[in-house]
Amino acid sequence: MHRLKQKAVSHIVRAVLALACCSLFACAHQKPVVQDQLVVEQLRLRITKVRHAVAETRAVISSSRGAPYLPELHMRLAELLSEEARYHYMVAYEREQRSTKALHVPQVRFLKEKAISTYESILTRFPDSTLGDRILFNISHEYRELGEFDKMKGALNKLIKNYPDSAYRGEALLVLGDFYFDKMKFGRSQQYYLDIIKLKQGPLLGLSYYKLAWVDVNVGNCKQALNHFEGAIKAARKAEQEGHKRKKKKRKKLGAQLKGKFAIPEPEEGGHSFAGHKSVDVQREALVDLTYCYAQERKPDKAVKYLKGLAHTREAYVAALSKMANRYALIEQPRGAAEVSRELLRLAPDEEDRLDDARLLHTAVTRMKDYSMVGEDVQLIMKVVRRHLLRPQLKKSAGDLLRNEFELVVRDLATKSHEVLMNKDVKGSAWSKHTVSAEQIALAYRAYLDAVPNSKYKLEVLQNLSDVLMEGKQFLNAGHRYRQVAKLLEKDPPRKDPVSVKGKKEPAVEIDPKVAREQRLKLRFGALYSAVVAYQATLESDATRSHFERASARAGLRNAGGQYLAVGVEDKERAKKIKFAIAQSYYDEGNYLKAIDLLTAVAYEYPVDEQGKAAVHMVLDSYRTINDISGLINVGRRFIATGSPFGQDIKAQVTPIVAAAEQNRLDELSLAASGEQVGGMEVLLAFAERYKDTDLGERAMLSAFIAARAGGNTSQLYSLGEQVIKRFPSSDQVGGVVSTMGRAAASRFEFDLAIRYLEQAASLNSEQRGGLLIAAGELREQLADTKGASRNYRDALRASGEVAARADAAAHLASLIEREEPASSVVKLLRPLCDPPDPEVSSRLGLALLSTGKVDESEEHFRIVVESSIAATPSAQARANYGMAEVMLKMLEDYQAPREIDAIEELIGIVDVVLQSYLAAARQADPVFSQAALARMARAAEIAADKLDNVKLPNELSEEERNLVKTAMSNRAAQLRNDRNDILAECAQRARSSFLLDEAGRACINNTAPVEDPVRFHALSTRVKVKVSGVEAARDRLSKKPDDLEALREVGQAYLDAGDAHGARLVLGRIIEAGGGSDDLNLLGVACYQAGDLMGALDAFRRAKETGSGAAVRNLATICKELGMKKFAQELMEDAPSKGSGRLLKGGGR
Amino acid sequence: MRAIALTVLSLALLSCTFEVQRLSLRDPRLPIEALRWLADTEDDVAVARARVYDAKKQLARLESYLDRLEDTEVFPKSAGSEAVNVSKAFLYYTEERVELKEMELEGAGIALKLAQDRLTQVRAETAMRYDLAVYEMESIISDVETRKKEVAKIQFDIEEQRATVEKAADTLWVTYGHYVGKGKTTDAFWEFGSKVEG
Repeated sequence: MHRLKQKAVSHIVRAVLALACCSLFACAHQKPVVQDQLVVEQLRLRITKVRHAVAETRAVISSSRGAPYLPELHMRLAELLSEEARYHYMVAYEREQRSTKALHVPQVRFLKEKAISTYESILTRFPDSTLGDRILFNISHEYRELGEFDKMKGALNKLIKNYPDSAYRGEALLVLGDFYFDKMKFGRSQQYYLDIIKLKQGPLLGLSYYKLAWVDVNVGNCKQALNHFEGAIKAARKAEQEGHKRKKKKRKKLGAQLKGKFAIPEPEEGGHSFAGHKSVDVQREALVDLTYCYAQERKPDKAVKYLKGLAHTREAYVAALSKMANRYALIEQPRGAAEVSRELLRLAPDEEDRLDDARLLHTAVTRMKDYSMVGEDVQLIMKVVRRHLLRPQLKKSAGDLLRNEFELVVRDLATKSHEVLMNKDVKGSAWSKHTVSAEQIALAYRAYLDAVPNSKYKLEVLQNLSDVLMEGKQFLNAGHRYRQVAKLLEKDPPRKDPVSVKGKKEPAVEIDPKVAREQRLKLRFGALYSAVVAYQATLESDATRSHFERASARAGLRNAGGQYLAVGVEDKERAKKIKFAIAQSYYDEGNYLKAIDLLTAVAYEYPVDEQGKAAVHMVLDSYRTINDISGLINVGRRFIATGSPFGQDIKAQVTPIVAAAEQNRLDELSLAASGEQVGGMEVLLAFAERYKDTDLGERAMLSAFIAARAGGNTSQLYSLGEQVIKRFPSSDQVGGVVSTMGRAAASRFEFDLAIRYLEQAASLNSEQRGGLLIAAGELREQLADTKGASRNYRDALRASGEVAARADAAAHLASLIEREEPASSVVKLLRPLCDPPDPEVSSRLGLALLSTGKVDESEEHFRIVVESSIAATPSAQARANYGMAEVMLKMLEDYQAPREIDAIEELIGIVDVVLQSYLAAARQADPVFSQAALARMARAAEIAADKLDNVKLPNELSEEERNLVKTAMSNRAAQLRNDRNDILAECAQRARSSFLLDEAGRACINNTAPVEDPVRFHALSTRVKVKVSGVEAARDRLSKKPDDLEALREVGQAYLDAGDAHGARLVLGRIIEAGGGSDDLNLLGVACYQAGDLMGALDAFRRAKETGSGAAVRNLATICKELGMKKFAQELMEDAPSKGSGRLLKGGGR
Repeated sequence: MRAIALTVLSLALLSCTFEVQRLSLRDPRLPIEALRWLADTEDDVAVARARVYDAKKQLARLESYLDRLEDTEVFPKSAGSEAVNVSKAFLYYTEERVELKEMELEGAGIALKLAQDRLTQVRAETAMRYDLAVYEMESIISDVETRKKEVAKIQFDIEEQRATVEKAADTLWVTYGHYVGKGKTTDAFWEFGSKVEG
C-alpha cells in the first residue's frame, strides 16, 4: 500500500512537471500584437453609448413630468440625438475612405430632424425657458448641416431679433456673415461682421476683423484689409490676454477654496464654446494672410520688422515669413525677398525650403547689388548647406551637387561684393542703399574658407581676404592671412586656369614650369612683404590694442620678414624696410638687448637713410631705457667717432646726447659711490680708469675724490687727490682738490699735512691763494710756528689783490707781530695798508703808533675807526676807543695849565673828556680792552686829582676867590679819588668773576691803577713736536663725523699725553665748539696753560668751574698763586668742591 | 656643585648661541622703528634674490643665443674674408657678453649673500638692543665686511668686463661697417635675428 502510494505520488509529480514544461513552452510562444481599434468601431461604440444616453434621458423625462428642469432634459435629448447623427455621419465618412464630405446618410437626416423637432417642442411647450437662444442656434446649426439654409437663416434671424443680449447673437451673426461670404455677397457679409464688431464680444472680435479683412481682400481693398488684419491680431491678442487673466483669477479662487475643503470647480463664466471657430488661431491666420496685402501696400525693407512686431509665436512668424518670401519672389521684389529670406535662414527650422530661401537670398542680393550684409549672408547660406549635407539620407551625388552649387553661390557673393568695394565709383542698383564694408566681405571670405576648406580657389580667396582685411584696416588678421598665402605658395604650384581675384575668368594659358615657379615666388614674396606691412601697420596704428595682439603682430612680422630675407630678394628697398621693421619689433617689445644689435646693424648698413638715422636714435633710446648709460656712452662715441659712416647731422644730434649721458653716468656713479651702496666707489674708479685719458676720466676721478670725501674715506681721498694732481696737473680743479685735502687733514688734526696741502693749494689756486695762505698761517700760529705763520701772512698779503683780503692778511700779520715784535715793526708793516682806510688795520696801527709816541698820527687812525661809517669789528672798535682814551690821557698828563682861570676850566674839561673816553672804551665788547680801560680810567682819575690839587691859581684872584676856587678844586680832586677807588673795585670785581687776570686785572685786584698801558700780547710757548700714533681709527671716525666727541677726545688726549699741548689745545677747542663738558673745558685749560696761552687757560678753567669742575677751581687757584694772587687763590680753594675729576696743573692738588 | 656648573655652562651656551634667531615682524616686544628696520633689511634680501633670478634668466637667454649663433652661418663664408672677420667679431662679442652676464650672475649671488649677512647682523643687533638675546657680534660684523669687499671686487671686475664687451662691440661694428660697405649680403644674419631665443 505504501509502495503504491509512493508510485502514485511519483506519477503525479511527473505529470505536474510535464504540465509545467508545457505551460513554459506555451509561454515561450510569441505574444500576439494588440492592435488599435478601428475608427469605425470606436464610432459605433460611441453611437451605442449615445443611444443608451438617449434611452436613459427619455426615461428620466417620462418620470419628471412637471419638473422645472424638464426643458433641460429635452434639450439634452435633442443634443444627444444630434450627437448620434454626427457619429453616423462620421461612420459614413470613414467608410467612404474620407473621399468626400457630401454624403447621403438617411440616419443622419432622420436623427437631425428628430433633434429639430425636439428643440421646437421645447420652444412650444416652454416658451419662457431661458434656453431659447441656445435652442434656436442649435436648430440653425442642424438646418445648416441639413443644407436647409433658408430655415437656418430664419432661426438665426429669430435669435438675433428675439435675443439681443444673448451670448449666441454674435455667433449667429458670424454664421450669417460666413453664409453670405461663401455666396460671394460681400456687402451683406461685411454688414454682419460689422454688427459683431459693434457687439465688442471678446472671443469673436478678432475673428470678425479677420473675416472683414478677407472681405476687403476679395473686393480689392488691400489697404483696408491690412488694417483689419492688424485689428484681428490685436483683438485676438487682447482676448487671449483676458482669457489668461480669467484663468489665473479662477485658479486663484480655486486655490483659496481648496485650502479649506474640497470643492467642485464652477463652470467657466460666460464660457461657451463655439464649434468650428474655437480652433481657428486668428493671430496666426491673420499674420500669414496679411502678407499678400503687405507685399502690395507697404515697403519691403520694413517687412521683417513688421511681421516680427505682430507675431505672437515663432511658428506664426516663420509661417508668415515663408509666405512673404514666396510673395516677394513672385512679384520680383529683391529687397523684401532678401530681407525675408535672410530672416528665414536665421530662424526657420531646418527644412528643404531653406535651400530655396538660400537661393532666393543669393538671387535677391545679386540682383540688388547690395552687399552690405554679404558676410552674414554667406554665413547663413553655408550654415544651411552644411546642415543639409549632414543629413544621413542625402546621397553622395546629391551632396556633391549641392556643395558645388553653393560653393559657387557664396564665392559669387563674396567676389562680387569685393568688386563693388574695389570699384567705389560704380553705382549700385536702385535697391542698394547701403555701402559694402570690408568687414562684411572679409566675413564672407572667412565663411567661405571655413565651409570649403579644400577649395581649389583657396589661394585666390585667401589673397582676396587678405586684401580686404587690409582695406578694412584689420591689419593683424591681414598679416596672418598673407602669411597663409605665402605658405600656400611655398608648396603649391600655380594652377593652370587661374581665376582672377575678382571672380572674372581669365583665359587659360599654358605656362612654362620655370616661369610658373618664378611667378609663384614673386607672389610669395609679395605676400610676405604685404604681411610685414600689415603687421607694421598693426603696431603703428592702434596703441590700445591688447598685449596679445601686439605680441602676435611682432611675432608675425619677424616670421614673415625672416622668410622674406631668407632667400634673398633683389628689391633692396623692401629688404631695408623689412630689416628695420624686424629690429623695431624687438624695440617695441622691450627686448632691448636684441633690438640694440639689430638696430645697430640697420644703422651701419643704411647710415644715410631714414631708417638708419631712426635706428641710431632707437639704439640710444634702448640703452637709456635699460638704464645702461655706460653702453649708451660707448655706442654714442662710436657713432660720432671719426671715420664712422654717419653723416654730420646725426653726429650733431648724438653729440649732446652722449655728453648728457656721460654727465648722467658720472652723477649716477658718484651718487652710488658717495652713498651706502657697496662697491659704488670701485665702479666709479673703474669708470675713471676706463676713461683715464679723457675729460670724462678727469671728471670721474674728481667725482670719486668728492665721493671719498663725502664717505669720510680719507686714505682714499689722499690717494685720489694725489692721482688727480699727478694725472691732471693742468686741471683747474687741482687747486680745489688740494685745498680739500688740506681741510680734510685739518679736520683730522693732521696739522703738518694740513699745512702742507694748504700751502700747495695756495700755489695752485691763484684765486684763493690769500685765503689758503691765511688758513695755513693761522694753523702755524696756533702751533707756535710764528715764523712760518708770518711767512704765510706776508705771502698772503702779497697775493691778495683785493683790499679786504689784504686787510685780513694784514690784520693776521699785525696780530702775530704785535705779540712777537716791537711796535715800530707793526707801524712799518701796516702803514702802507691804510689807503684806503680799514678799521682793522687802523685800530692796530693806531695802538702801534701810540706805543711809539706818535700820538697825533695814532689819533687820526682811531678817529677813522670810531667816527667812520665803515663797519668795524667789536675788536677794532674796542681797540680804537681804548686808544683814543689813551691819547686823551697822554694829553692830560702833558697838560701844564698856565695861571689863568680859563686854563683851569680847560683842565677840568680835559679831565672830563679823558674819563668819558675810558668809559666809552670800557663799554666795548672786547673784555681785554674793556678791563684795561677801567684800570686806566682809575689811573686817569688819579692823575686828574693830582693835577687839580696842584693847580696854580692866577695871581689876580682875591684871597676869597682863591679860597673858593681851591676848595672847589679840592672837592673835585677828592671826588676823583673816590671815583678811582670805585672804578678799581668794579674792575677788580670784573677780573675776579671773569678770571681775566692780565696785567690790568691783577692791578685792579691789588687796588693799583696801572701807570702804563697794561695791554700785553703774549706769544705762545714753543711747541714740542711729537708724532701722535694710535688714533687713526678716531681720525677716520672724525672724517665721517667731525663732531664725534668721543673721537675728538681720543685725539685730544693723545696729543696732550704725547706732550703736544698746542695740538691738544686745537683739538680741545674743537671739542668745546662741538658741545664738550666741564672735563673737556678743564683739559682745554691745561692744554692752553701748557701752550703758554694763560688767558685761554683761565677762561677755560673759569667755564669749567661754572659747570662745577673741582679740578678747574684748583687749577685756577694754582695759576692765581703763580701770578702772586695768593689771597684770591685761597678764597677760590675755600669754595672749591670737595669731589671731582680732571687733570690738574703741576702744583695743583686735590 | 657639578650640576650647578653644568647648568650655568649650558645657560651661557644658550644665551651666546651662534645661530642668530629670526625675529618676527609682529614681535610685540619690538618698537616700530626696529620692526621697520628689520622689514627693510628683509626686503633687501628679497630684492637681491630677484636680481639673482633675473641674472640667471638673462644669462640663459644669452647662452641660448650664443648656441644658435655657433650653429648658424650668419655671414656666409662665400662672401669672402670680410664675412669671416665679421663672423668672428660677432661671435667674440657674444661670448664676451655671456661672460659679462656670468659675472653679473656671480655678483648678484654675492650681493644676495651680503644681504643675508646684513639681515643676520640686523637681527642680532636688534635682539641685543632690546635685550632679547646675546650674540657674538664681532664675527657677524666681520662676515658682513668681508662680503662687502667681495661685492666691491666683483663690481670692479664686472666694470672691467663691461669695458671688454664694449671694445668687442666697437670691433664688431667697425668690421660690420666694412662688410656692408662692400655691399655684401646680410640676409642670413637677419633671418637669424628674426628668431627669438629663450
